[in-house]
Amino acid sequence: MNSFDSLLGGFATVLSPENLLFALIGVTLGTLVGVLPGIGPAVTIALLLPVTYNFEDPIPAIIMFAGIYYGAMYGGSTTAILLNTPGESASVATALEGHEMARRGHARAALATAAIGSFVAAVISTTLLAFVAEPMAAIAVTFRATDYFALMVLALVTVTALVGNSLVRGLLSLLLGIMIGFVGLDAVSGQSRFTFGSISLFNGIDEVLLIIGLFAIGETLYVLVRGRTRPGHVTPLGPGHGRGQFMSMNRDQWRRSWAPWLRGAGVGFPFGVLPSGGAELPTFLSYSYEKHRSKGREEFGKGAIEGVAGPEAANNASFSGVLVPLLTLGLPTSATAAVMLVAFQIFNIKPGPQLLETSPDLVWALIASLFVGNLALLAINLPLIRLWVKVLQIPRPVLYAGILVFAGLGIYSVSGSVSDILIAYGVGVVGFLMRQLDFPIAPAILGAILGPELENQFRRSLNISNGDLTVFVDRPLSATILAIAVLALVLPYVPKIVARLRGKPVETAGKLAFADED
Amino acid sequence: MTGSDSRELGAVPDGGRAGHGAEPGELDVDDASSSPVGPLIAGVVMIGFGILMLTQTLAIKGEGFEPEGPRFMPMLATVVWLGLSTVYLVQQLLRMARSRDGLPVQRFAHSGRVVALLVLLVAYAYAIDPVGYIISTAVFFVSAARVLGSGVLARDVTVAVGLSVGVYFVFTRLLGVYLPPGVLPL
Repeated sequence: MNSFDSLLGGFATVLSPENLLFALIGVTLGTLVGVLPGIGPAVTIALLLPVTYNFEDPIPAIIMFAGIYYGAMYGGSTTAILLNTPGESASVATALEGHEMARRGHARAALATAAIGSFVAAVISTTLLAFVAEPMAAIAVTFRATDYFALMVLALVTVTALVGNSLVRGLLSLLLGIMIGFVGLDAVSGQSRFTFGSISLFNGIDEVLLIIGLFAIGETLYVLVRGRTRPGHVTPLGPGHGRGQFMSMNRDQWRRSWAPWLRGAGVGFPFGVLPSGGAELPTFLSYSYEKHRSKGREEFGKGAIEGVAGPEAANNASFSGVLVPLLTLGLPTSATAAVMLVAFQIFNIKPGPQLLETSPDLVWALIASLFVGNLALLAINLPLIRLWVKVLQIPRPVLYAGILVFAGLGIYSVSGSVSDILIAYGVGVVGFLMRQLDFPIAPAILGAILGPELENQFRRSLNISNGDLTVFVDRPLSATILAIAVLALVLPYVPKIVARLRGKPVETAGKLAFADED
Repeated sequence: MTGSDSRELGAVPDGGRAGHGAEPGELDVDDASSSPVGPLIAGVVMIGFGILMLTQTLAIKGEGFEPEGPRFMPMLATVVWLGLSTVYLVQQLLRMARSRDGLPVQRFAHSGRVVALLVLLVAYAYAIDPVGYIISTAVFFVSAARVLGSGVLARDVTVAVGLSVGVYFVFTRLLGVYLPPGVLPL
């Protein structure tokens, strides 16, 4: 029960008044920004990074980011239910049934099942995380450079292949990110690469500039060009506390919710742990399971509570699952995880198998803060629902002008140089054009962050093998992971193939993905 | 083309409705453009970018393209990029030849506003240091909100002043992040 003792130690750290306050600030800020339409967890974290720049102790900052991480996700489900504009693809499933529920006057129940389901899933998945982290790190210590290379290839391929509508566009986005990642001085040879002779590019393009540019600025320009600058119609919340209700849900709604919560958590966590392109796949798996198997299946399309309960639980559980490879391998498997990695790096924390040995306090405080954060979210989310509705009603021009101000603040506080700000704007224009032409954004982010590390492991492997390229297939583990990566490239076409075999129109299949910011 | 133009003009006033009026899963349908020009230009630009990056790859100092060296991965990325860009362009051309209905690509409306917003952003970047954070941010906020379609000046000014002053003091005094005071005696 070693993990259990360590976890108790983590709680001792987190439950200090100061750290508790940071957890609360984190979940509140995260929800506040995450509620904004079109703003997903990745950009929420990126926009809020400057808040912690001058923290001396990393633990409060990391606790706060755990809160922001989950808060942004909760906020996304609120937007999906009340506004039907999912901020990230993982909320798309929630929007399908949740918004229908809201239109039929059950907004509070939909929000409640999302919030409570997320909490239940978080408790389950964070417990799993706490017990998986140490054994996983122990295994990860035995990994060699070739295994890391193969894992990174797998992470990049899954995000590219499983997110978005076109493999070609996904790969182009990924390659763009990788090329951006190569900008600067090569760590091994010291040669400048892709710098166009400009000294200001020698240090590369900061990841924060990239994320804020691609997501915040790109999204604002995109919203502008599509004329979506009028506020959406916020579905009324409906009557408040009714008879026979507990936490805004009646007995029947509770009865129909608990099984989807557990199933969602069961699906979400393993998919989060494995590189599978983020929370999108498990949420849709949960959605389609509930749609075909649950008791309320005939209500689907008209606001079935199972369709909110399952996907929301899956979403949250996969969020916790994503932290397993991030903490134990240093491997981000979604755009949001990549931003979390950047947040760690600001404090010179290098996630990986050694992290549990070098800073156990930090890891266990983080895991404990996930529990605390989710409890805080459950406590603030439902009572403050009127506040979130107010946020949804902010006029869009004011909202997006505000987002640009915070984007500018984030960029300026990274470097303070005009040329860096202009680079971020340039990246923003690229992000805007990518949205216009239906290129997914997440592969570019992951490519930029993982690309240089991938190259690093590639060269290390070759140094050990004296330049022999067969080193990547000689070791069974590396070869297996690489084979799975190849398989993942084929996977997106499975729905279409199945549809064709069943004689259904191909167009309706494989339409699961149309946004990628998770 | 004319058909699409009239549709574009007709769709502008209720553009804000698209988010919640459409059925889930077809959120983007009513924004489809029938002009294949955008993707074609994108394809050509991407190939051009690939060639540019190829020259940059060759400019990296080093000999040959041995896998351990600094030129191997950039070369690999650039070559695959060029290949995929060509595939993309050919895909667009094939689709164009196959159907006249065009592609599921977002239309470029409000381009003037996008350019205006970019000009504002650049001006803001140059103004922060000499003018100071509070004034430049407040002016930027009000002008950006107008470009984004706001028509309520008094509200925008109030929010702008509150936001820029609030952010300045929270970040400089509480969080220890430097923001330039500029011309104000702060």
